[in-house]
Amino acid sequence: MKTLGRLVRRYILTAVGITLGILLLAAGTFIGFIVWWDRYYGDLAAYAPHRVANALREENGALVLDEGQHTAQEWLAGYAWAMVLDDDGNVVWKYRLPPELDHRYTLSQAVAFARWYLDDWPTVSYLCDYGTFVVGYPKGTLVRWNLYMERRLFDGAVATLRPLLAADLVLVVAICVFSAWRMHKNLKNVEQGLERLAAGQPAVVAQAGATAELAERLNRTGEHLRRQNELIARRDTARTNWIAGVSHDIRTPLALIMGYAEQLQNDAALPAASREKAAAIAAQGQKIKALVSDLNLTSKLQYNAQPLRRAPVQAGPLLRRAVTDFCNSGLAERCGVDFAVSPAAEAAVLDADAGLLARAFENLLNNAARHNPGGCAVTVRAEAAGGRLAVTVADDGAGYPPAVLAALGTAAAGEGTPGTAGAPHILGLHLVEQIAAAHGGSADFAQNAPHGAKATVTLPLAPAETPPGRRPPPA
Amino acid sequence: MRRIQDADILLVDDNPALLALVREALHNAGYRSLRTAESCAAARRALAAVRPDFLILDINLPDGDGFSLFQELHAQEDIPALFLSARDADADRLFGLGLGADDYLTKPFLTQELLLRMQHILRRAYRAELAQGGTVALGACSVDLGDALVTRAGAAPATLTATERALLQKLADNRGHIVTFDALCEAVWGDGYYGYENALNVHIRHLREKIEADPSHPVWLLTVRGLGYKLAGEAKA
Repeated sequence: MKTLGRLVRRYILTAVGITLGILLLAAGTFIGFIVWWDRYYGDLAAYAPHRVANALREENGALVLDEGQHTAQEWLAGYAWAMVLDDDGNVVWKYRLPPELDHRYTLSQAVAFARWYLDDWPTVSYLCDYGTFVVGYPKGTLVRWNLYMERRLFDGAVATLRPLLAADLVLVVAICVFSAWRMHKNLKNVEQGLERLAAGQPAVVAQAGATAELAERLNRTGEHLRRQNELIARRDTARTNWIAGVSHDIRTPLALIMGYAEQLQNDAALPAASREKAAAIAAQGQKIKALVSDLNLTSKLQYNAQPLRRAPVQAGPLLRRAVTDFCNSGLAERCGVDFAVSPAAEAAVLDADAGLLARAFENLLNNAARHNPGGCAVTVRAEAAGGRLAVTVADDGAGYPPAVLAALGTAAAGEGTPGTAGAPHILGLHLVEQIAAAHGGSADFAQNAPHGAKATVTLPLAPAETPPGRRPPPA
Repeated sequence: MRRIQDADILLVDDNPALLALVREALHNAGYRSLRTAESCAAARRALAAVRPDFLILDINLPDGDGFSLFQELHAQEDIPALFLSARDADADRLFGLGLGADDYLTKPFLTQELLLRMQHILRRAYRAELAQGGTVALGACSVDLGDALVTRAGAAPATLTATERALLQKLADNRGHIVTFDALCEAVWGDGYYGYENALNVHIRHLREKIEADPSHPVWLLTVRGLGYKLAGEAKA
């Protein structure tokens, strides 16, 4: 609607501008022509007829031209002749009057030359107190015509002028509004196409009206983008499938490596040193296993190949389970875990993929244990407020290396994938970011005070109330 | 079947090296009756000969897939089964469990984890046939889960209530590991009873009075603050 208003305003302003422009141009041209004419040709006569008439005066019963200022030649320069008739039509004064004109004039003759010509001489007459002053221009130098109009017609024309102008104005405004509306419709069409394009859909704009060409180009661009997106999607799928395939194929050989390493580790017949080596192989196998799983999942999340199996899930049991699984795993042997959930967080319900969230917390907890082989105290805290659940996993170990924090910052900003040349290995933590983002939340990584690592995962709560059949625990 | 280790286990996987690994691991754990098959056809033959007590199935097999094989068997007989596969997608895991399999473990796996999960399934499936649910030894005290009887040297035997027996069963199944409040509530009252911690505390207190020498300073049934409870391992005394 705002665009339509702007278009109407612009159209009307343009119409007004064009009208004013044409009028100004016409007036300018006319004035310019007159000025130019005057400069190059000047008037036919040096003095207007009425000035000459007024310069005549009676002296001693005879008419004389005032010679004080100019001579008779100067006064009448440009005129062919001049004469003065008395009331009876007799010539009482004359100047270069041709002999064939020097006679008494009847009333009908006077009326005829006053209106038209005198023997083809164009004439101008003035009634003065001393008689009728008549000047003649050279033949063929002046065109005369007389205007007259019926009064009723004249009055009618004057009276019609105002409503006619008003109607014109209304018509112009109406045409402007209509044109603006049509333009707006076409533009709206193109705008919707652009919006669809921005949303990743094909543009498909009707190619009609003033914007037909624009629409056609938009459609072409949309088609181009669609083909490009298809290509990218195909490539992403190929990459995801490739990673999934590799991670699948690695699993069976890795199972054998880990299985036999475990058996050797537990073989009492072997010397302690060999068993320790076998234990190291098994532990590294576990690391590869975690890496392969993380890599597979991170690629699936990156290319949206991992559908979220969302369901209402209570935060308390989910977190307790994750922490308990960590405590029950061998990794937690050297770690003390302090777990506390606020009553609000305990009852908080998330609309989430429980498996993925558990994976995120598992990664955070395992990270604390793996990077602090000497042991550390892990604290897990959960708070719920303002429609969001914040889970903090902190430890008092070595903390994140600065390069890791920097890499996580850029990864969160969507700049490239971690693990590219030179970047530190942060796959597990990047996965936490991805999982949080997939749930509409975020993950923040920082150093714990006075030392150690601190990760906070913030997730939006499900809009619904606590599902039936599960009551919140007593406070 | 008196002991879990007496169970007849059929292992189906197309990788001979993996079959050998699992066979050795199970043998080391005391399982004596092990058969292996490398294809669906071989598995069908083995099944036709003797009904196994437990199935470990791979999914990718040369002449079919583990899912259809399991469906086919499951339609005839209810044999406890565990999928052991390199397929780690949630979709596969959920599909396998949805078919009615008891568990789904992805390769690579920890031998110990496979053994624990097997034990868990076997104990649950053959509780009636096994030596009466087994006996839990708690130092001077021993609990027979079959008839819910607590015997202690120099004291009159005590009987567990059904809830206490279910709690102890769950804890004993995961002995040495923490079991969350939620998992205990679920074991006793079924799904959806999250947050019944106060009720749970009462039953735990009663259970401690029966199995602990000093119920206010428990050495077997331990509280893990904020998380749940744990039944201490037998090595501790």
